[in-house]
Amino acid sequence: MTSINAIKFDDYSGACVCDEARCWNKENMKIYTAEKVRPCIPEEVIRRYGTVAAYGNTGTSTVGDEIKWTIQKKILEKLEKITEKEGKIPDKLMTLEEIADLVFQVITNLKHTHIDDQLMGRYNFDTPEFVQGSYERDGRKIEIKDKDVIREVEKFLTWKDMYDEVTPIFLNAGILAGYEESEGFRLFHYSMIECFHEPVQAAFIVDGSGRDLTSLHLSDYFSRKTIPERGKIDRVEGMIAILEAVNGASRFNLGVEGYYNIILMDGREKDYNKRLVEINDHRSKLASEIVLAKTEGLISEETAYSLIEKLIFGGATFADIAGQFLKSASDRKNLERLLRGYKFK
Amino acid sequence: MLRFDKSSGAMICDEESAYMERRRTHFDENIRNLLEPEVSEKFDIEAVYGGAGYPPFHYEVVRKARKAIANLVKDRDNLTLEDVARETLKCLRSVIHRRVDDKLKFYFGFNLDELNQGFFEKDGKKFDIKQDSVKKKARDIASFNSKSEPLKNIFENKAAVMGYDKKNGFQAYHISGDITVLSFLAGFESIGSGKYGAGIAFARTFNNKFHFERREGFDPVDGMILLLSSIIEARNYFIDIGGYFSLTYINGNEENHEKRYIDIDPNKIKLASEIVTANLKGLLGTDKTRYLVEKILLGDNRLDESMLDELEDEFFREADNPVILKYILRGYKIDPGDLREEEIELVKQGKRGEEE
Repeated sequence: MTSINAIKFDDYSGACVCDEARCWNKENMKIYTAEKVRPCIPEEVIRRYGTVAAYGNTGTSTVGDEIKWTIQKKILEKLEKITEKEGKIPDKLMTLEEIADLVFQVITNLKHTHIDDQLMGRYNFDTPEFVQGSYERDGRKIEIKDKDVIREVEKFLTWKDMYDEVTPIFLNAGILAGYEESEGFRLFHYSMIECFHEPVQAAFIVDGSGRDLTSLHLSDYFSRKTIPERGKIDRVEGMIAILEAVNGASRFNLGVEGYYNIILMDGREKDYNKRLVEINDHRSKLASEIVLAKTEGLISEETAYSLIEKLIFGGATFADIAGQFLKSASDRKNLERLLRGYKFK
Repeated sequence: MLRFDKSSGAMICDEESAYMERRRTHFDENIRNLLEPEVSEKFDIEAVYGGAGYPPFHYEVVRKARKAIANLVKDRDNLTLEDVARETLKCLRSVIHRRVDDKLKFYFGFNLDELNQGFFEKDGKKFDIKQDSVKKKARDIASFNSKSEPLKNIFENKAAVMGYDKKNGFQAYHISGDITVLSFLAGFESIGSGKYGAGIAFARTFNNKFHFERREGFDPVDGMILLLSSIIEARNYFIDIGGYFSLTYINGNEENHEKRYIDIDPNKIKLASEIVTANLKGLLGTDKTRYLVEKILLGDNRLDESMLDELEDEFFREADNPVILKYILRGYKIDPGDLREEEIELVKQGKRGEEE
């Protein structure tokens, strides 16, 4: 159960927001350990090239974790390989599109590795051997001819009939958001269910079990804007929109819980180390509360705007804004009760 | 559910469920009265049903059970909780059979009884049920043995029936939907997705009691606090538990239905759960917790806005560090025993009155 979301403010900047609840084991224990959207560019690459990106996965937690870890590893390997070949550190490394393609390669390789592990355990051959119709073991060639085996293996490879054994691999989807000097800020979408990856033409992408609510909210937000307006949205207004969307998912969808991780990316930032900023401490909780209060009409839109601007983009401390927030409410008692989970009319 | 003593006990539940398996909602009624008030008054008996699993299933069971019990008592001069529980079990079975028959009829044109007898009739013509694959599939559906069929809404339901009757005092029973068996419950029960969280809270208390202490039972205030602790733990660590809690208290020591069967006001339960949370976090002492819980849950059940305000104010006055407590109650990740700098700043703000 998850909500992963990304929004593009303009050609240089955008943000990702996700929750942190993990449903652990079939008993559905709730633990706040998930890093559903995570920066995926190695620090060395950020320092040298100013490229920043974050990948978010929904589905099987361990699959998502492996993808994020492998992306970093592969990018570093590429840097090392080129450096060795050219005898110097390259001036340019990868465009965002190339990173997006690499992510899909990582996903595809992961799928093959995991499925091959299962096939080897069950049948003693892997995918390429199955495709060729035979395999060799101890100098002996074995033809794969049994019809039942062939039928079963197809289910492993393609998730036919949503075959339970491989659902943890196939039932995954992902988003990539990032900035790179030549391409600016872009969004990409991945699906292992439908086996695709593609650039996102819209200014937002959402996925996870919370997506029916988040897509509703963000679709409404962007549908009210003209093309020029959609290409350059006010970042505070956009942040409020995406927080409102995830608040909705948290309220109306199972398993979207805990503190949000808010990842800001801004290619205009001259200091490369500051191009990606993560906010996942009390400030992110407070930001979600400020937006909730605005949604329920307990603080004005102007107040919400001002508080979010200071808290998320202005470097204000949690304690400063926490005090201002409560003082700004038209009905403080009911605001506090709402935030504590009382039913509010 | 917890037995307090030989005449009383209480049941607590949350109100969250996944409506149509997707939408998180907070409007389920998971505890329902099994008896019409006239039946309770006539036989000096109380009985509630708490269901976990698929809400429409339990709704159907309770409706059937209320009617069945009302009919059962027409020619009787006594009624025990066991009678009520057995009648409820029969109704639960009939709901399972109805739903299984729906599936079998829809797929194949016959029901469970016809499957058992080996033939069915349609338009005056007899058809033997001979096709092996059909018999297997039908049998798998009827016995919850089919992985390809969505059957958990029919079979993965559990219920607890709790109550009081004059002859036996306070009793409770557990009903397992998958095997349709009625089991006697001795002291407590927890069912539903949060049962392991609640179980730890119960274990923490029971494991520290001697045999005879367990038999003696609980003071109602301590019992209420334990029930609230159990559901708070369930909510903190398991998915699909949330919203307001409902709490039904049955006190067989009282003389009539109105006083014996108490559905506690939901806003009072909410406040009481905050009080117990404060206690669990070490921000409210045990004596103060008991005092407030007794006042809120076992005092006058009528509640208006001003009464809630007063009780709430008293709670925060009694608490250690009310500033931090309020943030914890809002869901902030704060350890009162290990405050971060920014949290210490909040406390300073509170003391300076900047928050007021």
